[in-house]
Amino acid sequence: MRRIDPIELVAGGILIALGLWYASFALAEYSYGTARRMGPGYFPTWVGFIIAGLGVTVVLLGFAKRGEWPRLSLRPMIAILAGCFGFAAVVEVLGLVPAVFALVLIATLSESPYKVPRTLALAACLSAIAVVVFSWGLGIPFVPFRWSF
Amino acid sequence: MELLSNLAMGFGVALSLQNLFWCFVGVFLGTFIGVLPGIGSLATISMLLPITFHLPSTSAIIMLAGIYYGANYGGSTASILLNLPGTPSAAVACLDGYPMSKRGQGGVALMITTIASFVGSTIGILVFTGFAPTLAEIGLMFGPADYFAMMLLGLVAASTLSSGAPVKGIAMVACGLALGLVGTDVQTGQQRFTFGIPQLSDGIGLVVLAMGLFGVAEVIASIGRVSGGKAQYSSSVLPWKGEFWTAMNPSKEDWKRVPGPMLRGSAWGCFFGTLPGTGSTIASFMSYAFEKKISKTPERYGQGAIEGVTAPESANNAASQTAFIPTLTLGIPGDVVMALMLGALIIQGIQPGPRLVTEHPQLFWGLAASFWIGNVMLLILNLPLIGLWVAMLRIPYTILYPAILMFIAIGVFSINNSAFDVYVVGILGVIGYLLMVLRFEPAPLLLGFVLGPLMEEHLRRAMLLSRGDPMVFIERPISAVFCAITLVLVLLAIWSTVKPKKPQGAAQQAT
Repeated sequence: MRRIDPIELVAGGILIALGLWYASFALAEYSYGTARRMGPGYFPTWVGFIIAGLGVTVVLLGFAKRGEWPRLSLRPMIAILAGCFGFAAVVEVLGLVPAVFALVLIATLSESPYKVPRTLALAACLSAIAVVVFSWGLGIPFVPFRWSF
Repeated sequence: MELLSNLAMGFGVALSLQNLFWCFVGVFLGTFIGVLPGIGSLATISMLLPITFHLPSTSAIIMLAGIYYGANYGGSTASILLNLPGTPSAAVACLDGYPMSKRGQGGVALMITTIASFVGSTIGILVFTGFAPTLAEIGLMFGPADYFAMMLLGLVAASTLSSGAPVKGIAMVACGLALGLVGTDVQTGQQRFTFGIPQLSDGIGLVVLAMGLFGVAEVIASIGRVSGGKAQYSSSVLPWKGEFWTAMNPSKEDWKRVPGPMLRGSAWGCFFGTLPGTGSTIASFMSYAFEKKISKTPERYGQGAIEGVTAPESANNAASQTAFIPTLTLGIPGDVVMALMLGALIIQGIQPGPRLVTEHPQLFWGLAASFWIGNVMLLILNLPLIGLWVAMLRIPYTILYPAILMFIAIGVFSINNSAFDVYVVGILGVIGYLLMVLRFEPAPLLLGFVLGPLMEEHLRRAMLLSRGDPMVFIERPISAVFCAITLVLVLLAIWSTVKPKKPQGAAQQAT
């Protein structure tokens, strides 16, 4: 094992890339102006360079530490993201209740034994709560079901 | 006696039935989520922000504030009984609170922390009502350069003092500034970093960002962590049985030990709460370290010393009240939750700043009065309901997280009736999770995000006034002081990074 912390290297590398991209994009697209009359590109350029500079520092410090590769829990990550997307895709077309069902049914794919009856029951309870709290309680005009589309 | 008549007006506002109700909802919810580890006041307030758009501004801010200080009361309960801090600022309460529970003194510890919290809050409120109007008057003298320097100080303080890795903290602040600039430039009308997406022309929504980075990301991370089963805790410590109530009375000796730590803790809390960029977490750690240092018997700390529970609890409650001072009077949030409060006020059409006290006296004094009322509610609520709070901890996470996710999705959607925002919140959640994996702290990012546009505006104005001369930041006395403190903090951070052995060891011991 060498004395390197891969997490810090990745983190610093991302910062450098992001910072340089941000600064160069701002310089290329927006007018820089002068210190007295700053254009829309002035502040972003400097913010970008500062991010990149800090990224370099993070990388350098990463060489002085020992560490392990990070562990990603990919399954929950994808399931939750897909759940949000499912809600977003359904809510405008079919209404609030189907959207909550989509969210719950997809997001719970993150658990390994997928229990269908339990998940359906949970989705039913949650959509009832959603209608009561948001539509009735707070008076936000949601459409629970949209039949004609 | 202007103060008294103002307070009387404030109580008139806060005691209206509607505001009493929202205050109660706030402190109740706050205690609830404070007890539950995994969702803090940050996630809750961001989830409830869209709901508050439908309330009058005073009720909205009273409820949000109630969540914030209510969470501080609740946070220590889980720390003491289960060794699981419900909120970051309650982590210190684990150190001595849990050993006390194991000795069978959990009831005493809860009683004392509730009283300590109340004392801390009371002192914090006194400082708030006495000091905030004065500070607002001072704030009127601030020029753009002073504002810029103060925001710089706040950001640097927040990122270097609170996190273990100052460089990454500052990097997160800078990323927040970068995100905050997305949208239309106020001065030139230029669209920046919008890539032709019309929904981005107003910038990224604060609520969407906060919910993604804290709500969704936390859900992803927690499923990965607890997928083995429920959070484990031994039921032997849980106070179900009847003896618990009789075991709640502290002994005479205990009573003698606590007043000093309470007052000193409150003092630390008021100091760090008022300072922009620092908040209740730092206050509670500092007051614990201080009590241990001045104690004649430091070896008792960590073994269940009652002073070790009292001082940090007073400190974090005092800090959570005084944190409103810079937020409301200067428009500079003390911590991330305050940044959200600031956002909530701005969305309600109220610009926090030196003029808030005079322009919206109803809101300001109503809020101050609601602090008192809310704290009395908490004092009455907290002790009898401890059993209920602990029972809440038995809700399995497999039921909790779909519910959290649903509230986030509906909340985000309801702001603009926009499905686009829900897609964004999902993506931000993944980004937030990746940041956690890379050991970045998302909190400074949000602070930078809120302050970014303000900083740019004040920098531009300051430089315009000084005809492009950057010396203005050193020539103006107020800004010079802020710059000097910022420099000291940066030097301290560099020193602790280069010589990491001692300070880091001490910080880890305290955690």
